[in-house]
Amino acid sequence: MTIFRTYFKVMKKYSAMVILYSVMLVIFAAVNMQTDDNAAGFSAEKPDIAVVNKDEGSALADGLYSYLDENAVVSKMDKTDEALSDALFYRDVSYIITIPEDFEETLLAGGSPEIEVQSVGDYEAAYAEMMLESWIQTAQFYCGQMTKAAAAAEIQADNGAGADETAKTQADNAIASVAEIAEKTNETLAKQARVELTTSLDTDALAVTKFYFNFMNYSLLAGCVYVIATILSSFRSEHVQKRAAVSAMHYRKQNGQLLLANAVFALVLWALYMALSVILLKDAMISAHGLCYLLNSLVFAVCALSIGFLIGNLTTNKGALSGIINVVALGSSFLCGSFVPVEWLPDWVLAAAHVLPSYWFIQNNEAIAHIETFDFVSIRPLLARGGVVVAFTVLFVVCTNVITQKKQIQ
Amino acid sequence: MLWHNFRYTLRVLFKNKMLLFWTYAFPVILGLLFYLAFSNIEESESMDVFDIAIVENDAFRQDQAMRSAFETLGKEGSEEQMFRIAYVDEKKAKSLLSDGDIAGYLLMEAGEEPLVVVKESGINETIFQSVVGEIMRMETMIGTEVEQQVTEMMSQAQGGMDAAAAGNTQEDSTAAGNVPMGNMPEDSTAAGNAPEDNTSAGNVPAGIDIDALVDSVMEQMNETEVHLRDTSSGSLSYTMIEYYTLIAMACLYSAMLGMYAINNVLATMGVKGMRVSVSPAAKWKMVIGSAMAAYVAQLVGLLILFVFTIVVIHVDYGTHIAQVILLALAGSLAGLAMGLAVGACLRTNENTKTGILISVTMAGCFFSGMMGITMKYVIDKNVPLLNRINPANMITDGLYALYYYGAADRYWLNMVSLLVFSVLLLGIACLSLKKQTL
Repeated sequence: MTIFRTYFKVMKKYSAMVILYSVMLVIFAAVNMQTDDNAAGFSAEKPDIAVVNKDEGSALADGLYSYLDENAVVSKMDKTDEALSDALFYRDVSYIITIPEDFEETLLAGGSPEIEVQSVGDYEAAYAEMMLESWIQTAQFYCGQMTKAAAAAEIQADNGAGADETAKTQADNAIASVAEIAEKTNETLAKQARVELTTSLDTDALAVTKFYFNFMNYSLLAGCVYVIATILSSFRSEHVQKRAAVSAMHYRKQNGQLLLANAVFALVLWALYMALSVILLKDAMISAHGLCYLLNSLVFAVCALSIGFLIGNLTTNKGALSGIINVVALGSSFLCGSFVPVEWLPDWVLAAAHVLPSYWFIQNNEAIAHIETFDFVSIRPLLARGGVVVAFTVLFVVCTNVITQKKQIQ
Repeated sequence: MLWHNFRYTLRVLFKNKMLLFWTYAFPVILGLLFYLAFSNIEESESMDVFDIAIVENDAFRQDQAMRSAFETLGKEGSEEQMFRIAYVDEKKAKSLLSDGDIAGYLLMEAGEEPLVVVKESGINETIFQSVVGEIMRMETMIGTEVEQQVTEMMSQAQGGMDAAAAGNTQEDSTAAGNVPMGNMPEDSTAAGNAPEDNTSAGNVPAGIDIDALVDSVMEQMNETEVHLRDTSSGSLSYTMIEYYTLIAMACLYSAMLGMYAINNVLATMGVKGMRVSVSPAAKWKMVIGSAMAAYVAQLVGLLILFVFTIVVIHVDYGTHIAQVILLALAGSLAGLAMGLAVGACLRTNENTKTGILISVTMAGCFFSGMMGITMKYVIDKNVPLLNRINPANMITDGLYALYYYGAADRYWLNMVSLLVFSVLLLGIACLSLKKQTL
């Protein structure tokens, strides 16, 4: 076990860097997990909007505002032009509505007030626009009703009191004041279809869990590959390599011991991320879903280990190593949906990503979030994808052996 | 001596493959990855037509408003299309939903309000539900309008009747509210409009065609226009920020070139420096020659990156090209100054210096939005001071200001900040170098 022990001696020299690197990754993961909540959210059911009310104090404008406040998230930020524009650009709000000064006046006169809007053109903005249009149409309708009621009341007055019972009923039902228009409009719009949810899953918690594990693709790859490849390159330096070549130990056994030492490191790193996941995600991890995520990431951690092992054997130039590692870790993470939700990636990028083990790992993460009941039929695809990751691992190990053998012959 | 050193430093820099990888190739690779990952984001955020199902039962067939509304919203190829609709039975709808083929389905039952069944909550589900709510609202309004018109007609017809009939008519008028309703039981004002039912409600006076009335009212409603004036800027592509942080990173990476170049003339950094130090050449000429070479090497790299981002990944820098170039020049100067300051002030080996420069650059890029665009907004809004002194953000924000606001005050503020930052660090580097030569 000489090589095994030496590995951890070398690791000691790098330990400060290892810790620093892991802490950095952990912080990135934690920060990203939190900021992702308010980024262009997918499960947002209330659109984020901003409202500039120039007709404040009028019953109709206030009615519209209270309707929007109830059905959308109305930002409470400064209403300066620059603050609003910045908020729109960074999608803090998707839709800005400016209620004009003559809003109530125009509506009551039977017209349609011109409303200034700014939109980012996404589905939240479209939804907010739908709300705005509904409200105005409804309000216009009730304004018309009020005008008619006023006319009917006049007729009634002309006909003389008590002469026309029908008109009287109508007047009773009629809208008498502007405040009532706003009230009735909001009342009408409050009526919603009944909704029934069929899923029993806590989709929000699962979405966060999924994000954490998808992001772990980067953490595991960068962490494992960086540390393992850097330490390995020390073993592959010319003098050490020559000494190892003349030893009685077979090169396969040497590789085996190195792989074991690396495996211990990879497992410790993986265990660290699992512990962190339980702390951050709590209950979501103590479940069948959590177990699936855990096992899936374990398979991938082993694969990351074999990638690090392969890269570490390619070159001894530490400068070149850090370049390769960055390209591999960042490349797989960007192309397979570790940073950007998979459904937002172009199809052809995903098609190309099939050749990367990260793709199969992340596809499994996505699938786990949608499993309702755990039986063989539902986990069979998971096993298949896990098998692909294992196949990649075997491939990398074989490649490593071929390369080291060739180098030894040279 | 200045030009001699300039030429040789340039050759040394161009022969260092690692340096070239990080300053030339890495930003380009990262840019390509950004492009692959982000090129679709903004498109996928726009509203797409999505799949729903409707359970086609008697209750649905009788609800004229619901039926015709979904007909319009599901019309293939029309501008108003929102859904692809499958008209199926309840069993099929359930299986479609559990397979994830549809966002949800609509189930109408006699005597009940419409029911929207969805798998989970999400934006498509919310939109589906609110569209159904919207149709219900239309039905309410149509009901109110029809009721009113019927009442009016009846009061006109009744004009000739004698007073004794008045009581009955009153009853009629209340009942009339119920007339057009089939499956909307809750109250008379919420009158739906299943006119098929009007035969059963026999109290509508002859001569009033409820069907035609409902149609005309519906038409009238659909014609109501809402005037929206969209004043949003055309430059709303927020993924541009990613590419701007990339430019910022590339600019600041000139620090590595600067640091490397100055290390060669520092006696503390190795034999080459020692040799240079004992030569009779003026120190300032050596330093300036090296710095200029580093700056030139940096600008070549930046040019490659600009050409790549413009030609291959179509980054939009706005229309103020001269200002973009000016900003890139100032940004590179800031990076160079940072490299010179770190190279001159810190008495440590090259690796540590490189580590410090990369960490500072990456942290700066992180706060200016490279790892998540929201981060820049969050910092700008809550800790503005941090981004005011962050050179990566000065470059990113400068480019953003140009793209979104044009060459306005905000751009010039960033420009001036970059220059102040550069002069400050160059001053520190000069002082430190002066001390070392004395």
